Amino acid sequence: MRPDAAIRVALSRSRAPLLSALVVMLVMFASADTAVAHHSGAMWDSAKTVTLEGIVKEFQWSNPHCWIQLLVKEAGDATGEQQEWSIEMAAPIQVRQGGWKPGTLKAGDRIRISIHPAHDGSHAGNFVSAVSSDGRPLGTT
Amino acid sequence: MKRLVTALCLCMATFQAVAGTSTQDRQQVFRKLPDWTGIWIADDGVMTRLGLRNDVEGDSGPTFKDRIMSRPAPYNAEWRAKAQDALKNSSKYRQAGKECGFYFPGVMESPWAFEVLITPEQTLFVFAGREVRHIYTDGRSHPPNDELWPLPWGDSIGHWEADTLVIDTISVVAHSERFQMNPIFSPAAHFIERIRKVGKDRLEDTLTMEDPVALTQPWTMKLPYTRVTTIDRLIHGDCMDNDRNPVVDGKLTVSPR
Repeated sequence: MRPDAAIRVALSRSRAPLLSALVVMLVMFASADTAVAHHSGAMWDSAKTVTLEGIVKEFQWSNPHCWIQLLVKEAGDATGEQQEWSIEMAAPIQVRQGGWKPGTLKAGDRIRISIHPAHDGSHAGNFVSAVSSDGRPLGTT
Repeated sequence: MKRLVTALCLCMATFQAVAGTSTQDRQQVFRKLPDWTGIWIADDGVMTRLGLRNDVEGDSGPTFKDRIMSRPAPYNAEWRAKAQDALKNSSKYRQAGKECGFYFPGVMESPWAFEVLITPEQTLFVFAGREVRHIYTDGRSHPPNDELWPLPWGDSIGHWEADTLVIDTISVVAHSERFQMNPIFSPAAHFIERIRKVGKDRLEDTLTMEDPVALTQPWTMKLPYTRVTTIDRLIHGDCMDNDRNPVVDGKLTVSPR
C-alpha cells in the first residue's frame, strides 16, 4: 500500500430530481433498461451518480467487461480503512473506441471517477466517466 | 499411349481455359462491387461509450430506448398482447439473464461495431460480438422448407442492384423475452433489406419486416450507420473470459475481483 493512500475522498451522492425520475420511468416503460452485450443494467441505480476519488489497485482489460478496482477511503469513515470498489466498464472494443487503452490506468494512479452505484449497496458501480485527480481527461488518444 | 497423353493435355488445357475465364469473370464482377471497407456502427447502438449505457452525465446521446426497433410495431390485436407479455417476461429476464450477442434483426441496430466483406459469391457482416451474417449472392435460393429451422440470424440470400445490396432473410428465431430486445414475430416473418452507402462515412439499411400473421402491414425502418474512426481493427467480445457477474438468488451481482 502506498504511504499516501490516505487520500482525499469525494463521495458525493446526487439525485437528479424530477427529470431523472421521469427518464427512468420512460426507460422502464419502454423496456429499455440499459441493454448491454453480456447482461442488463438492472443491478445499477441509474438515478444516482456517485463520485469517488481513490487509487487504482488494478485495471482489468478483459472480456466481457473491463473493470477498475479502486481503493477508496470514504469521507466520515472513522476507521480510516480503505474500501475496494469494483467499477464495471463496457467491453474492451467499446472502451477502446472511447479512446482508452490497456495502459490507460496503472496500479497506483489516483483518479476521480463517476459511477452509477449498485442497488444492493455493495462497493460496485457502473462506469460513467473518469479524470485524473488533477482533472486531466483519461483515455484521450 | 500417345493418344492418351494428348487427350489428357487437351483436358488440362480446357480446364485451365475455363478456370481462367472463370477467374476473369470473377474479377470483373469484383470490380463492379462497392467498397464498404472499414469499421461501422449503428447510430442508435448503445455502448459506444465507456460505461454500460450511453447516458453519460451531461450527455444527451442516444440511449437504448431510442432504438428504432424499440418503437411499437404494427401488431394485430393478438400479437400486440403477445408482445406485451414478452415485455413483462423480458423485465424478469433482465434481473438475472446473461447472453452473448444479438440476434437478427436486432443485431443490425446493436452496439457492436462490424465489418463488411464483399465477394462475388457472398457478403459477410462480421460483428464484434462474433455474430456473422452470410448473405449469399451467387444465385442460390433459400433451402426447401423441410431443411429450414429457426436460426438466430436466419437464412439470407441477396443480389446487387447497382450499389445496393438487397437481402432476403427468412427462418429467424425470435427470443423476445431476452433483454437484447428483438421485436417478436411469427415463423412466417420475412425480412427485406436494402443496404447502400449514402456518403463517404455513411451506410444505410432500409429494413422492411413482413409478417402476415403478426403485423397488420409491413414495418419499414431506416437504420443508419457511421464509420468508426477510433479503432483500426475489429476486436471481438467474449462472454466467458472474466465474467464477474454471477447470478445469486435470482439477481445479477458483482464478484469482488
